[in-house]
Amino acid sequence: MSNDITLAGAVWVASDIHLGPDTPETARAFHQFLDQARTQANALILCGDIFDAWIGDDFALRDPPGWLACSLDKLKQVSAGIPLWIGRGNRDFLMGERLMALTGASLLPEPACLHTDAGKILLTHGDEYCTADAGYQRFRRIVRRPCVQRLFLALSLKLRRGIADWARRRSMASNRYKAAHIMDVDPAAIEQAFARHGARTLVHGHTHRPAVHSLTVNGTACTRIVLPDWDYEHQPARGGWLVIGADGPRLVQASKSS
Amino acid sequence: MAFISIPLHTPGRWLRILSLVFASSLALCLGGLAQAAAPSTPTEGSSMSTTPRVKLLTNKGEILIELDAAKAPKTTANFLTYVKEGFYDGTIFHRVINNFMVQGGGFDAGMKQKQTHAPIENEADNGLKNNRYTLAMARTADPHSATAQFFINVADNDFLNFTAPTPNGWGYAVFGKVVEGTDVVDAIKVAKTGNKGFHQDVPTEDIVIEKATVVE
Repeated sequence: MSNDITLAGAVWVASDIHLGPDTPETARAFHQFLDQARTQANALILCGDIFDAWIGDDFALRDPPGWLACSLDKLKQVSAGIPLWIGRGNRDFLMGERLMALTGASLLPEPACLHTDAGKILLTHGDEYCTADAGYQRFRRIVRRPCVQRLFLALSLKLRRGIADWARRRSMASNRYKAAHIMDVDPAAIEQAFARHGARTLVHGHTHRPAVHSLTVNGTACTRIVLPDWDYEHQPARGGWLVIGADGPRLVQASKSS
Repeated sequence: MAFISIPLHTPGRWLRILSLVFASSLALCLGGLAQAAAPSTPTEGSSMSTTPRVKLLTNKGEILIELDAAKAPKTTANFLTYVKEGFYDGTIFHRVINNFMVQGGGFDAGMKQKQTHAPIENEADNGLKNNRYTLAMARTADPHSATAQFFINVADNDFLNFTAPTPNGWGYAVFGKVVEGTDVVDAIKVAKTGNKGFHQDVPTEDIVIEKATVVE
């Protein structure tokens, strides 16, 4: 599969919405954002961790819970109007072609090389750049193996749902700290990505550290844009997205979507 | 025969291990800002300076805050009430997000939420901006629901400013700024955090407001 995507007009990019059964406010804000994107953008890309967990596409196809059904409907509405791309994150990496068919989206290649009105932009979820987190990278290598994924998806949906519920209950009941710390990207991995793909702009999410960084790679001025994560369950809330247009990429941060 | 029995058992073990690996990756983040409201005890600012100062003595150092009673009279009076009652003593910064804000003043070190007075009116339309090192009131999704919890902006958070008197547009009321101890705020914002119970972004090591006092 080619990693190149050519997109004209306004391209909107968001990631790390982390939707789940307990994120009604975030879902509301996200749905408003989707409505806005549908009417104002020429293409929408969601690059990973749209869902806080994904146990297989059949979960969405067969009798999805209300919170999920609602988001799927919204995604369908978007794809009916503009091209929609969905990329995998470190949480929802099990999203597959069946979900794409259901929502009318296309699976985003990793990394994606966007050819936009603002030039060439390299886009990816970003967890692959956190190379200092050896434990996570090991986990990532294992769970990204097709055979491992096939093995997990071979479990009955009931069992997978049970595992997810069990994990959730454990997480809720626990009053201990969970290691939720997400490491930042490794500068060397970032430089390598710029060099390998010959891009001057890199966009990623994952780290929950929204920012626009300027850096120099091999004497070339480069820009690394980190997408914001979404959390509307706590106040002050936050979320946001990137607007890529002829006048360059612009980060929109919002505590409200309207 | 022993050799034959191994492959027969291995897939089952594999699945169990795999399931555990997956289960542990499904850490879910929950949280709700529970709201506690007690009968109101309205406070009148008694011969209040228009720029009263409050010192927050934390276990990371001292933060001196200057409040803006001219632009945020109700929020300032409310904050001073809690300060004078000793409400903030022993509370923690329970939600710390670098490049965004550090929030505290509602929970004690055991993450138990403290009983507050009634919510106050949102004064976010006073022209003060959620810029770096300013102090603003935290609240629930209801614009007029602030009680004791406040946050210190650690970035220019324009998107938290008032834009319209609507539920989405109210924004967050700024009522003061840090005038000394920005280095302490900088130390707090980079604290390592994790999930605790229903809460996200909780510092793994307690950051405690040991004492809040009005500086005369």
